[in-house]
Amino acid sequence: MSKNTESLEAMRRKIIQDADAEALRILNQASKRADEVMEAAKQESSYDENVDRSRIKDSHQATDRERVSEAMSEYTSLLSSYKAEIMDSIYQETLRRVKMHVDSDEYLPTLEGLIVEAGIAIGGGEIIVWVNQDDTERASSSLLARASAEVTKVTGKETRLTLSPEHMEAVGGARLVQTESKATVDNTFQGRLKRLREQKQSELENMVFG
Amino acid sequence: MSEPAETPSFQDMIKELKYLKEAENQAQKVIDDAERRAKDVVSDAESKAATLLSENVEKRRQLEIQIREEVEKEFRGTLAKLEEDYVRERSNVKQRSETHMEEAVKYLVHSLLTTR
Repeated sequence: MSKNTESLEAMRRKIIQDADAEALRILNQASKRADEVMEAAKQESSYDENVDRSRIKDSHQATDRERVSEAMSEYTSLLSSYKAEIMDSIYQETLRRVKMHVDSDEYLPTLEGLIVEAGIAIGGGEIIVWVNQDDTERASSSLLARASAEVTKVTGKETRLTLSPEHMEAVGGARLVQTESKATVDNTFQGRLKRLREQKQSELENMVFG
Repeated sequence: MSEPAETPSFQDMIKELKYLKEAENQAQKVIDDAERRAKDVVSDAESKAATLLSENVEKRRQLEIQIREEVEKEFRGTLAKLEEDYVRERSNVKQRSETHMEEAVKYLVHSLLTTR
């Protein structure tokens, strides 16, 4: 082999070696880049299924707890309305039976008792007595005189009960107004029932609903 | 005395240049091949990564659907129980009130008619 040929062959080898080295560098770089891409994807997609399950479940359950709470409130409210309806029917029945009593002969002493009780509550004195149209005849002057004497006796204050020339709407009973102070006691059955409902509500509900 | 160096002929020089040009072409082919393979490696990795991410998205979507169904089922069960409780309680209220209504009315009538 001539010197010239040897030199030429060395140059060729060098060119090929350089190309191989460059090819290797390019492939290494690509491999590194591929590893990076895969690693990033793995990291992005890596998750703990239990943690994710728990997070999703918590989020849905929180919404459902609100819905359950709303449903519970609605049922509680429906039940309250139902109880109120029952109590109203009891009050209506009560007034119906009181009206039967008012229409009976036993009512007169009751009316007198109601007037005396209201007169005492108001403290005696000059008092106007309001009753319904039917009771204007029942509340005779003799009844009012007896009631006045009883109120005077209990309160110690001279009392005169006078029937109002006008009448009012009521099932029965009386409303008394003290002339001087304008103090009023509603002792009609509706007024008494209203007070009873306010004072004994829980007792009545316990009695009816247990 | 040494022999004087042999001066290559023009033809020889052309041959040598061609020889080197072939080597250069071969080298370029090696590099081109490497670049193509490199591109394929990266592209393959990107494609696998995209598949991985898309599978993950689908997996999470399925998990979400599954959990939502589980929770919804639980919720419907709770609602059904609440309704059942309400119907039972309403029935109890009705029954108890029917038993004690007369007692309450009598108590109220007595209270209304009784004065001091």
